[in-house]
Amino acid sequence: MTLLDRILARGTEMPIDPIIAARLERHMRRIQPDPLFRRRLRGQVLNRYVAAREGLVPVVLAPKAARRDMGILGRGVLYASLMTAMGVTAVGAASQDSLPGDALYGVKLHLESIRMQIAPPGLRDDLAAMALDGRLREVEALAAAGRWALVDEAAARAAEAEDQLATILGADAAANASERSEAAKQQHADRLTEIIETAPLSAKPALERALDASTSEYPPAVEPRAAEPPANQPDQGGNQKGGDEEEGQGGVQAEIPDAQPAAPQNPAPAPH
Amino acid sequence: MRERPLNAFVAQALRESDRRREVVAQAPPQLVERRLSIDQLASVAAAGDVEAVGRLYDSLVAPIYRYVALRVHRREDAEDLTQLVFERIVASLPRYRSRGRPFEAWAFRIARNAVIDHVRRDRAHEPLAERHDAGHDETPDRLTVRGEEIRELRRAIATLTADQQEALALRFAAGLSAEEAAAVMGRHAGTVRGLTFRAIASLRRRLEAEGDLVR
Repeated sequence: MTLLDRILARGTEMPIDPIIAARLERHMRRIQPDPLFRRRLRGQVLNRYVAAREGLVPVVLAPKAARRDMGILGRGVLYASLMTAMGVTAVGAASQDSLPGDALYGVKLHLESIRMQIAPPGLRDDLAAMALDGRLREVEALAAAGRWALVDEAAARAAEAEDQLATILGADAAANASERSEAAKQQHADRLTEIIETAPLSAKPALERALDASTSEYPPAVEPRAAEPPANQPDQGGNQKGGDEEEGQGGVQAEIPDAQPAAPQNPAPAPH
Repeated sequence: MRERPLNAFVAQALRESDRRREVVAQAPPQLVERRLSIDQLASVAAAGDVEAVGRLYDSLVAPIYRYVALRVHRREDAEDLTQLVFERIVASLPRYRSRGRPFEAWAFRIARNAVIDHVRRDRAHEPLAERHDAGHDETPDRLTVRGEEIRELRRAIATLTADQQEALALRFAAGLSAEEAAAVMGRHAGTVRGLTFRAIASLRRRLEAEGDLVR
């Protein structure tokens, strides 16, 4: 018995007026549930208990009890899952700007590989074009940062990306060319050409390999095919509208531009 | 109506059956023994025994109904709330762990919360119908006398504070000990004893003032 109990109750038992207590007890005894109600409720209680025990009905809980339904372990697992998901998402997002030699570069390549594997076949050429675009950007970024030792590795990856794109596109490559793709490719070629001029001798072979990849006949950027105009066809009948201009562009594509200015008509870089 | 005699017959049979069951369930005079029995029943019921659930219901339905009826004053509300309380008990029973607390205290805490929610929703109470308090085996003459006495007592109880009414309901309607009532109310046992003592003293003063205590 606590001190508070002793103070409040002045002992374990308090003298209760027997007359009042007897009247109260007599009054309470007469408050009884109706027998029919009592019997009906008994059946309901047992049925509900059996149904809940057998999993036939969900156990209905009050809202307050429902909030407490998840235990400490469950809450811990939930928070850990959320933290993991947030961490994975954050790492994945951070890896997108990584370069060869960075800690997250492997994550970036792995995510691209997963994306390629789960993508529908109709989108894989677009993803391959985006990958080639990304590799060329990495070469340019490394060169701009003066990390020449890594340019060779980056150029090799650009060549691999170009091979992958060529494998996916195959004979339909010409049909996939687009104005935007050509512009992006041209930008890469221009930048790489400028870089080669100022690069150390040791890095020039790798940069030239990257330049080869950027000047392939496959588009390094994504373009919706439904809106594409027919690709450059040899103007055999001379009936194609604007055939002269397209022929002129085709001529630029066929060889590496030496000192062509950067494409002013589409300065936006290709999406990646 | 041809169904009335049958209903009366069935009701009489059910009353006899319930009376026998109640005698068996409430036979042990010692509160400690009864409490231990209910705690053991609760443990078995929590493990999935349907018969234990039935016996638990038989032991608790009358005290819980009395407690609820004393607080809400209307037979329909008392029956609805009693049903709600048992639904919650059954839903929570598989997760019930004693942890040293009597099962009755746990069950009456559910009942108390249900009553508090009900009172918050519906503060307008009608007076308790006379037949609500009437025993099922009393004659009409006795009912008239008893009815007047009950109304006097109810009016006196209504003048008590909410805590005093709560303590009286748990001690006299539910039949809980001071410790069990304290566990339900979240108070000290001494506080409950003090509330009960002051409530009865207040009832005596009021009934004496009305000249009703000689009856």
